[in-house]
Amino acid sequence: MTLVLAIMLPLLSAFLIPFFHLARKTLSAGLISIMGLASISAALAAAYTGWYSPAVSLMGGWAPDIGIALVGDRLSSAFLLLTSIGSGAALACALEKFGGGPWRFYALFFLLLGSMNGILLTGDLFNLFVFYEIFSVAAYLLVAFSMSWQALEAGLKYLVLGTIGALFILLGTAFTFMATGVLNMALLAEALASIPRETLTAISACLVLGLTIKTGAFPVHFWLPDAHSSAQTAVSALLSGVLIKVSIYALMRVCYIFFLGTNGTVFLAITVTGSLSVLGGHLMALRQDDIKRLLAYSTVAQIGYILIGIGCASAAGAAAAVFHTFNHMLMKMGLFITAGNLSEEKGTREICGLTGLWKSHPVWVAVFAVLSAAIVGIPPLNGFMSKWFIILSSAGAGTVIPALVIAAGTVISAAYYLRILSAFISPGEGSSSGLPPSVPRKPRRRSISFAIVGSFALLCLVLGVMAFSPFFRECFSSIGQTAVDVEAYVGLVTGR
Amino acid sequence: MMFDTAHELFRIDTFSMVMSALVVFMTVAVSIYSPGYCEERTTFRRAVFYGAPWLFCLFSCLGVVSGSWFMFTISVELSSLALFFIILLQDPKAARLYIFSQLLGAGFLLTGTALLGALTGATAIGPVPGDILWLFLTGLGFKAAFPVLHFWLPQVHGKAPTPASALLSGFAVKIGVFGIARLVSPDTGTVLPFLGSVMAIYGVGQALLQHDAKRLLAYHTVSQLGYIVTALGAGTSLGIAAGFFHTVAHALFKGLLFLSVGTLEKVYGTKDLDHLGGAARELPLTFSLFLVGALAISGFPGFSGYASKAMVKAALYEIPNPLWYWALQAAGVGTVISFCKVGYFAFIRERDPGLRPHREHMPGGRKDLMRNTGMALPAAATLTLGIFPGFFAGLGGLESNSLFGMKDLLPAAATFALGISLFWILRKWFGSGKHEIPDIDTLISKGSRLSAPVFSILQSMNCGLLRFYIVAVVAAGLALMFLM
Amino acid sequence: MILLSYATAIIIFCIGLYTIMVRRNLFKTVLGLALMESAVLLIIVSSGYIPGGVPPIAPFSGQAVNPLPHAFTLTAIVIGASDIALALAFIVKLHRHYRTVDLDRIRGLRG
Repeated sequence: MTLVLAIMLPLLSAFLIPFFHLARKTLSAGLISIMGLASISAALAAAYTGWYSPAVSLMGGWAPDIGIALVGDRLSSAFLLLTSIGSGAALACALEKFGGGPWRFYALFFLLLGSMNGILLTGDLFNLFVFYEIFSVAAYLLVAFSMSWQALEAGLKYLVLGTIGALFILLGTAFTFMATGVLNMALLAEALASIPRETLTAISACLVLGLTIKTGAFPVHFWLPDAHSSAQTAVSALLSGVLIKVSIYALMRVCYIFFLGTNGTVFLAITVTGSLSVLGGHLMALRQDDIKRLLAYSTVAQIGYILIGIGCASAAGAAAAVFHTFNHMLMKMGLFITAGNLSEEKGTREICGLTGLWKSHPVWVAVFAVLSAAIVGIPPLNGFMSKWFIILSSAGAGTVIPALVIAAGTVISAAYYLRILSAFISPGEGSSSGLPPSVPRKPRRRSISFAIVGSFALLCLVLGVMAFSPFFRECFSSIGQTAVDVEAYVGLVTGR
Repeated sequence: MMFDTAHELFRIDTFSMVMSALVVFMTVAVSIYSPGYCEERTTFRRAVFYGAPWLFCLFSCLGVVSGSWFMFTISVELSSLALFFIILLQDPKAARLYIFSQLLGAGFLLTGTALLGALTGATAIGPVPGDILWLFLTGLGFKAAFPVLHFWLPQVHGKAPTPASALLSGFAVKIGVFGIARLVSPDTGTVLPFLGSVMAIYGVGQALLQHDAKRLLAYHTVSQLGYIVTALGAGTSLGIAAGFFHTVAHALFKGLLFLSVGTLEKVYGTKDLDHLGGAARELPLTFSLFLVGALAISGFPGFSGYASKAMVKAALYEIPNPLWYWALQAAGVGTVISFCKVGYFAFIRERDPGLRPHREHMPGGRKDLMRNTGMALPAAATLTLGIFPGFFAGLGGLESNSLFGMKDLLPAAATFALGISLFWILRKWFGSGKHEIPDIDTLISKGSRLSAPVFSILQSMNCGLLRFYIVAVVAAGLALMFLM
Repeated sequence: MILLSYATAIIIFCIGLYTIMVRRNLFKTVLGLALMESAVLLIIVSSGYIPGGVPPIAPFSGQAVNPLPHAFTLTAIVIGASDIALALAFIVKLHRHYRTVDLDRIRGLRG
């Protein structure tokens, strides 16, 4: 029941918000926060259930082979926790910035939240596609929400590429259904073992391509930098921190359940894509002048790290990928919120214009420094630990190239984050651009944003140190174990 | 497998104790020297200038006592980070070069560690299997300035503030050597002596051509590291002990030399040997301290450099190939020549008349006192180790008297005679104009233009054309189909 | 008979793919997407066909075709329609800025 609530409550909120708007004309921030809290606590309750007693909930009481099953196990719980933290933070930032005004924004936000929880909980391939589409439509609209031409162009490109990705997912689903006659993922895990090799190749190519487009990995990443850099700050943080992670979850779940025992080449393809993403993303980020675009390309590279972890096709690799997913959520949301606020203060997003901030906003710059040290991978922060785990698991898979790619990527990322930080610290006041010195504005108070960003930075340190503790290791390796243990998943759903 | 078990957290033996003592000693000396050197204005920058060496000291100590390659790499990385901040105060470009090279080295080391864990199930510090040795040697080579991988060293040592240079040469590169010493196994016996001899000769050759005093010292670091690596390559316990002795000796006298050049830099405002001169009369105390360092590095009997080099050579008698021995002898001659050069051009001959000493740095002031006190510590240690090398000789199973036999004294005297006479013949040539052979760092900065096509391909991929994006997606799909 | 249906689907899919790859007009890109989507839906519907089956509407006699694909198709049609509508709305808005629907000129975001 908690599983259903985690999906229904946000969808209900999304449905109710327009009516509240019609009835009251103004929407209070308090109401939104109550809805947000209710949705998030429902998601957390589902995560709790899934963690301690993996649960299956059959919709309408139909058997798994006909009806839709919702499955909550440790992998979904971990991602539910991630989306709850991330979307809670984004909601708080949005509330602080917009208040309760833009009801459309919040309706879309809750739609997104509900569909994300749906993706994380569903155990049915077609249902996954449906939730994915709801999720994508909400995401396109949120990207374009500010209606500036950049946002619209980014939204359109995201939409076209995203729709192509969705088409491939749908095609893969259709092939799967034609080959086996079932759509329940647990039943498919058994059925796919006995279908012809060529069919399996077509299915895996379609599903992997579609999901890779949605994750924004390198050769098909084109929508990601546009969308993440053109949206508003809170949305950018949400996109980079949470939405991508949901796609990562879908890729992980589908690939591990369907192809772990049947088609090992899928994981080779994922590893290659990951390595390309690391190099391409970092190199492109090095060339950027716009700070948000730089952070977006950095996301492409970080996705690459996660894909390398997934591509190891082992429990350790999955655990490392999930750990890096968590860390990247913390680091990149923090970086986007910080960068967004600082560039709003200075009125520019060009890195060379963001000078003198060490004088005016020392704490923000300090937080940015901690977060970027974490994302570069300075020990003992969390980014270093998760990269180390990824290197370990890829070495365990017997290859050395991804690890060396990660090492090279670290150096490149150190280069561009140092560039940003040295711009922040350099004193140059307005003289460089030839513009008249900006009018001294009263700095806006952003205490909630700062509290969020600061606690994320603190968490980066805490997680990095915690990674040494056996308890923590136990938690993450059990997530990895759940991800690759297909038999347990099948047993859970079919009740055998 | 993901973590090291508790029993291999620390590994403390004589060598790590000696190294810890060395880094603490060097940091104390540098901290005493620093007030005579530091000219930072703001409190924040001063805090970095005085605090970073101690952070470096802390992490270096952790590095040398750590019991697994993982902890070793992390600690070494953090110690590099501490030095990075102090270099950043003076020259951001050099600081970036430093941290990038160190991060790359750490990446190789971590990859090697991960593979080691995957192969053997443990990452305890110690010899590694032959097929992943190259990862470790490359990773440590970035720190220990192996040929080609030394690209960062001359530039960073030359541009860094002097206390940082002293620590870099005195200890940061030695951590790499320490790691190599832990790696020594029969597998390393062929590659290390070769690399070491190349370093010894190449470093001294480049040093002879330098006009910037700090850059010259930096190349000498490469050369002296060559001695250490060759000794370690002998693979015997005598070889390892000799390597350690030379590590300690070199840390002390090279730190001393860097600090004395730092004094010249402060007093005259330049470290260019074409302009300096006459400092022996104006700074007699600094000159005598410099002389201690110079005699030690050239291997004059009674100084630590003599004893440690004698021990290195004793270790090389044990391996059949005499080539390495003669390579080191040749490097010894070069060392004598280049320190005659520094001594003559910086301290003895008449200086450029346009160069005036800064008054507040002259002898009698507080700054000069702090500097000379800081330098006196390593000088005293150099002399002590030179006269009583018994401790280190004992580690290698030698009597300290055996280092002062005719077999070692005669070559040392011959080296000195040859070096000084060669310098006297060539001194006009040294004094005239620039003689430079481009080193790998200029080649790398030229070669970085080769990366432009990669960037332009990437740039044109993200061209903003939706149709191109769609074609790329379809192409990726087809590639995926064929791959499977 | 069913093979004809699959062949049609493949042809329509290829036409759609060709359209989105070659045509510069944004509206045609959207049309191409819609075509590709229809092709995939056609495949799904055809997959439920059983030779000699009757429509699966409540009072039926004999063997009915598989109703599950029909349900999927209906859902997917709704989703596809919303996608297309959204794309058209974006195009209208973008036209106000760029004054064109030529895809090759809508490239403000790049690099």
